[in-house]
Amino acid sequence: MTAVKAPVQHTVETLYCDHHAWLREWLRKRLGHAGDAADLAQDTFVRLLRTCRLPERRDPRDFLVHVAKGLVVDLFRRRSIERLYLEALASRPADAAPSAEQQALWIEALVRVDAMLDGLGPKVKQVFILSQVDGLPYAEIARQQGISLRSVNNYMARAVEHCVLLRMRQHDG
Amino acid sequence: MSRLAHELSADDAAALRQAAVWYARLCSGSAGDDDRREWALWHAASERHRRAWQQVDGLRDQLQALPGGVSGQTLRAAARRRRVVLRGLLLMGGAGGAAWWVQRQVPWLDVTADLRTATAERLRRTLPDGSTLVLNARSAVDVVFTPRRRLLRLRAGEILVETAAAAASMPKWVVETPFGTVTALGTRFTVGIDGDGARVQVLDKAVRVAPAGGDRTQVLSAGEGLRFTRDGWDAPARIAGEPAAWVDGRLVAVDMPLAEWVAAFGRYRHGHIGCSPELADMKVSGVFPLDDAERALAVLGHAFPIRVVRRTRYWVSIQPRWRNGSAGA
Repeated sequence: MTAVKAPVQHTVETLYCDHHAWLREWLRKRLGHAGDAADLAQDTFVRLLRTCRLPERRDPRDFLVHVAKGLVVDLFRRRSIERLYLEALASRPADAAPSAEQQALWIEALVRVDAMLDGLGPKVKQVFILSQVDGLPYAEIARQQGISLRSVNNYMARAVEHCVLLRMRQHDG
Repeated sequence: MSRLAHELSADDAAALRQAAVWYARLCSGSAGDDDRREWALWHAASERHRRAWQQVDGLRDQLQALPGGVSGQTLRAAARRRRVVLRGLLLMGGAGGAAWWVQRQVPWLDVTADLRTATAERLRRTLPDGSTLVLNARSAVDVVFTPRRRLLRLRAGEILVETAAAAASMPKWVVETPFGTVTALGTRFTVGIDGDGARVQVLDKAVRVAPAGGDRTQVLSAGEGLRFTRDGWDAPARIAGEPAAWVDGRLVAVDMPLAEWVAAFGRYRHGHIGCSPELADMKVSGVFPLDDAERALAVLGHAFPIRVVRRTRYWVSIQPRWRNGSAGA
């Protein structure tokens, strides 16, 4: 999707007036949930304002849908991670209960790492998580996964490269 | 200096790759002083290297922010849920094709089945070896666990199996269907049957499929699914969507033929639900609530060129929007 950088608030306002109701309805039909649709339609315009990215004149609705779909993916990811995190928490003996605020930060951190690992193959992802999140040494990972030390090392290098490339791009953007 | 977000110079890309290789080497748990000295030389060698390494440090900080204890488990579980889903979400293919799809009657549930579910019911059980079994709606299964056998006999419907870590000494793990057997070589898969055949979808590791009428077998790996009958199997295909989303009460469709969608909701809705033949192959995508068939039908009706025709509360037919009258399905 092409977009030009144009910090013109006026244009977002115009877009909002012309297409907000349409986008909300578009989302509602697909999600079957009026509340989510209203939130995501709103977030779509907030994101445009924040990133100063605007569609070229020709296809504003295609562009809005493109942005909105990204937000739908984010929403589903967040809900799924939140649920899985709470499930994981419930399966452990409880120590001191963290505050709601702390939990929100942790869930946010999980969502970001989960998103970052998207696009890695399942084996590579698994090795990365075992090493970097669970802190296992390669020898243990190799044994557990039934692969060679060399493979563990290669998978790790591949995963780390993926992550740092992504970080570099995000920070440049 | 401005650089487009998605354009890195070849030198920067190479430096990032080297940084990644270094980091992988230093994280092994057996890196020594020599490794660290060599790394320090690399790091000192150029500004570009140091900039690349900053990204590695940033990554480390990001991982530090994860909650202790449960993060690995959470991220692994998330990885198991396939994401293909969302890419295909909200897209729509054209109608067409021929196959006349017929709604089957409520399956007759074998009374000797140990576990069974009714319409719109799901059931989760932990098995004696610690494995997990989940039954979809309108499903029935015999559980035969002895010191020599770990066998599920699938009588109707669909199950998800997640086998516990196995010791080599344990008996092999088998799901038997009228059309053949599926042997678990790993941990997580679904098996469903209808009148004509069985379908297996592998979420983790692998299974071996052995149709009943022959001695050929086929190994199926994670991310693959296939349909088999007594006599053989169709070519394995990549899984689209989340085949086990029903466990959480959702149907995740990615370019799913409408006939399959109808079959899935047939398990969750009392009465008849059918679709007219020209729609059987229409591809639908989206996330639908299994436990709220009415809402799912409404979503479908909004997003696709179909209309829902009702004769009584219990009789529903999905027809093309362009056709009038109430004939069909």
